[in-house]
Amino acid sequence: MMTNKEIFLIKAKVLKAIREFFANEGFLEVDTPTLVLSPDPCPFNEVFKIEGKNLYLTTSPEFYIKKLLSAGLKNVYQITKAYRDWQEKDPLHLNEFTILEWYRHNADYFDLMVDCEKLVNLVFERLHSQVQNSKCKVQNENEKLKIINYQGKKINLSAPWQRISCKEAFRKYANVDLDKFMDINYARKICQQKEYQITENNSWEELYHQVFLNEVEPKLPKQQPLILYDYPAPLAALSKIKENGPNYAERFEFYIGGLELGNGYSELTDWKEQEKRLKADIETRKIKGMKVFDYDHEFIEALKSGLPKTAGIAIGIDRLVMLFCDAADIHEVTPLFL
Amino acid sequence: MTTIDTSAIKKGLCIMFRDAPHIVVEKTFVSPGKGSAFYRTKLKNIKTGNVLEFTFKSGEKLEEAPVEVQELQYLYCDGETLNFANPRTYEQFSLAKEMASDFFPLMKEGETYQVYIMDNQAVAIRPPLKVRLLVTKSEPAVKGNTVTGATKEVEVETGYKVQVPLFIKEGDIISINVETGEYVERG
Repeated sequence: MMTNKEIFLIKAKVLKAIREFFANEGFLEVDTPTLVLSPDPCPFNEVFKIEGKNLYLTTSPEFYIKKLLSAGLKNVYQITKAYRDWQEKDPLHLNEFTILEWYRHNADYFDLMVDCEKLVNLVFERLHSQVQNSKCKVQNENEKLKIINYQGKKINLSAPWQRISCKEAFRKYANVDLDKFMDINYARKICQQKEYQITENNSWEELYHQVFLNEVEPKLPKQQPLILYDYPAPLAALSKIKENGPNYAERFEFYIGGLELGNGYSELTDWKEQEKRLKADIETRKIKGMKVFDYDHEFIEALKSGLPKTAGIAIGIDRLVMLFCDAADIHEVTPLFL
Repeated sequence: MTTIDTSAIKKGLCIMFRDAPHIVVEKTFVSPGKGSAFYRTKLKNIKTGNVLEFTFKSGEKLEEAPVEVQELQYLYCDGETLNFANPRTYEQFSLAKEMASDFFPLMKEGETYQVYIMDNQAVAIRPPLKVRLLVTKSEPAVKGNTVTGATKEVEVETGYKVQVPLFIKEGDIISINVETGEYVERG
């Protein structure tokens, strides 16, 4: 077990390396509020409401950073706190966590994938620079090869990382044709064949995730980082739908050692589509009995005024710290947190 | 047979899964970021001992396995076998230690536990929500030496080590949550 001091030292170095990376890339660090009137209504993340006031803690800085982008800022990043009210405690989520988001001007999700490779490798180098002259030969060999040990697995962080599309992953690991699976009736049939418990009420997203969590995610390679990309359109969230394939969205997530660390998009810039999705999210919240609030009209106004082509991503800093502390549980690297 | 919802899944519960009785060995809540809630479990087939992983959607219905539960006194551990007796009939039962999995470090000789019985064989333990154990070793706290600021490690009478608040001392009885393995309260 690491001491508090060791954990904070690693966390401080991680944050310092992140800031160094963005300074080198010419990004501006911005600050946006965490206390807001209209948080992201995404129906998978419940929000914390301030008692007696119409104020909420943000689940991510995304809407506010996009307001800045619409107002003319270009390459920006933010390191801030985000809050999500999870139903139960689990080893990978905190109610309060540190989030890094960055937005690259005139870029798409493939550009972000390269950013992720470079950023994680710089963090690795900065964490290991001080032990360079030391004792262990094996360690020095590992440094050259950019190998870390995480939960008993050796992981080579060197770029390029392996990339696999959701469609390819479903075909390879679950023997499912995702193009056909997009149809909910076909998806139900497949899930029944696979002996999953299916009811009329199950949404397409639940069917997708049941196959993904049981058959795909456990089999994703863990010896090196992995980028899973081109998510099905119903999981587009705030991403742009692919021009050449309306079933998929320009969204990716990356995993290191089985830990999901980041979620990036070619950003949706069409205000009409964005407003439609926000309204649909609020309706879903009502059905699920979640907290309901008005969507952020200022955000839609900002998109109307013009959000230039941009790609943005969020990384969980506490998870990145878990990786470099070899921690299996996020609570191990966040002493004193609830 | 009792029907339960996925939210009632807990370690040690014996459920029917694909027509065979399974013990829940592990349970974690999963929320795949931009998706609904799921429960990731490890299930051990109590007939074959095979372990499999399965992820349930939140809200799925499960049947508790039709397995008899008896209150048995835990006598002793002899290598890889746990020995029990029914305190009323004196009937003896043995159970492979691995079937107690995470609960074993919290088991105390002489205590009574609920044990699943199938075909007159003990097949698994149905762990209680919490156990009360005596603190037998407690070092004075060293400032800044632990991950959680205001806790220290103590050892209880079964040899199990647990993080507790600083006011706990040797000779105290503490309650430990069996599911999480964490300290609950003094007394």
